[in-house]
Amino acid sequence: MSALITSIARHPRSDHPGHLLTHLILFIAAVAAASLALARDRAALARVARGELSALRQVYGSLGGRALAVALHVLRNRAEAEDVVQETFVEVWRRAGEYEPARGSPGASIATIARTRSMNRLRSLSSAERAARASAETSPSSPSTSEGAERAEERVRVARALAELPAEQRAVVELAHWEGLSQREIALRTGEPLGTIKTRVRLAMEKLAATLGEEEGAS
Amino acid sequence: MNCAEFHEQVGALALDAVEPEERRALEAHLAEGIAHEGCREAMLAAQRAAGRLSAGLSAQQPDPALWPRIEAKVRPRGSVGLGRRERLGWALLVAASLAFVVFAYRRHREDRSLVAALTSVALRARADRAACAQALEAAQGPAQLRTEVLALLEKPGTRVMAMKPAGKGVTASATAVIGEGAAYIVSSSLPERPGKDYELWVIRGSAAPVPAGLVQQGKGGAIGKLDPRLLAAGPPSAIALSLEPTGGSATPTEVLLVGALAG
Repeated sequence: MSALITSIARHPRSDHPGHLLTHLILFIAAVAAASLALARDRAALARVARGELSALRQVYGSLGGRALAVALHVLRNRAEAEDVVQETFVEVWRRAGEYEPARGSPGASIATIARTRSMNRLRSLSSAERAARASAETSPSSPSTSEGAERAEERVRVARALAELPAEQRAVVELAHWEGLSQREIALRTGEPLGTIKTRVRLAMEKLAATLGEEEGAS
Repeated sequence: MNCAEFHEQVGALALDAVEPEERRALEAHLAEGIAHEGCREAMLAAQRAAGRLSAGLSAQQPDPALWPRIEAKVRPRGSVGLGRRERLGWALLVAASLAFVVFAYRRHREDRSLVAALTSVALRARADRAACAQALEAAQGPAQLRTEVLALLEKPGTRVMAMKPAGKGVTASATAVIGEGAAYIVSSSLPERPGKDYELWVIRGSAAPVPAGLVQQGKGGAIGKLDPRLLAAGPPSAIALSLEPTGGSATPTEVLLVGALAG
């Protein structure tokens, strides 16, 4: 709904009924497309759980690019990131039956697996290597050409939710999520008291849970 | 830990930003059989939010050679044509072989000849394997759980062991399949009892048994999946199976089978 309101506010003739109707139709179409993509991914994952390799291929085609983006963002090394994607989808093959829709979309679940495996690799590096990776330029990007409108909409939504956090809350979320730091490690890195860091994490995640924590497809 | 304390840390837990001891305390609270104040709902919302953070990145185009690598891992060359039962047989053979080499050497190296020890353990491992295969074949109802157990059996390091009767007169039997972060009970000899459920328990040290889920009955067999959250801290000391009123109980009533995992 906020996307619709923002879109209307930006339009020069937002009071024209035709423009309002156009925006409404586009909004409904975007929500429908997102719901269809979610249902498609969930159905494919259920088929993976039944041992259908073609379904894994479909899930990989749909969500492999997102898993690679996550691994690349953490590891800053293309070869290692692709190794992580390989491991991720082997794990998806083996554990598809454990997927719980209440915990998030298939895309979010697969991204979480990729992130966890990337973090495990990152933690196996020495401190010097981790610092070098963190300051290194990200490997050359090759954006997927198959990202649909619904994924782009989701990307904007998440970016907006993060941007709406106070800078210090956004910073702790990014240190935890993208560098795998614990609250204690964040406190040591920033020089802030542990209690302050815990409060920032709690407040940030409460806000994010309110904006991003509903079940996808329910909005 | 109380529910208010859990809510304070649930966001950090979803971000995986807690220390190991904090994680154990949080997961133990979530596993408690008490009337929680929205703890599970808060956990799910936080997990959904954390899971969506990655959506802020632009998807990247994988190398075309990556899918064949994945396909090769999930379907190794030469495995085309092997059915699930054949793969189960190979997986159990490998598991049994590893089990009797380590088990036999540690238990019998001073007191018995190695040949006699290996024979004894191999027979027991084959019996456990046969019981597990028979029960999986019989448990036609819970198909999803069968798939999960078969997948776990294919993983290296998965243990298969017979559970022991908890007392005299127990005629039921079951096999435990334990892997990293997952455990199942499989049985072809649990009679259906109207008004009753078979319940699973996780036991750590001298702590009270923690309810770990109910067994699902199928035609001629049963499979139970232990709550994976209770296994996140590592393998428990023991697992147990009891007979309870429908819906289960907070404490065990009639323990039938026990499987010791420690040592």
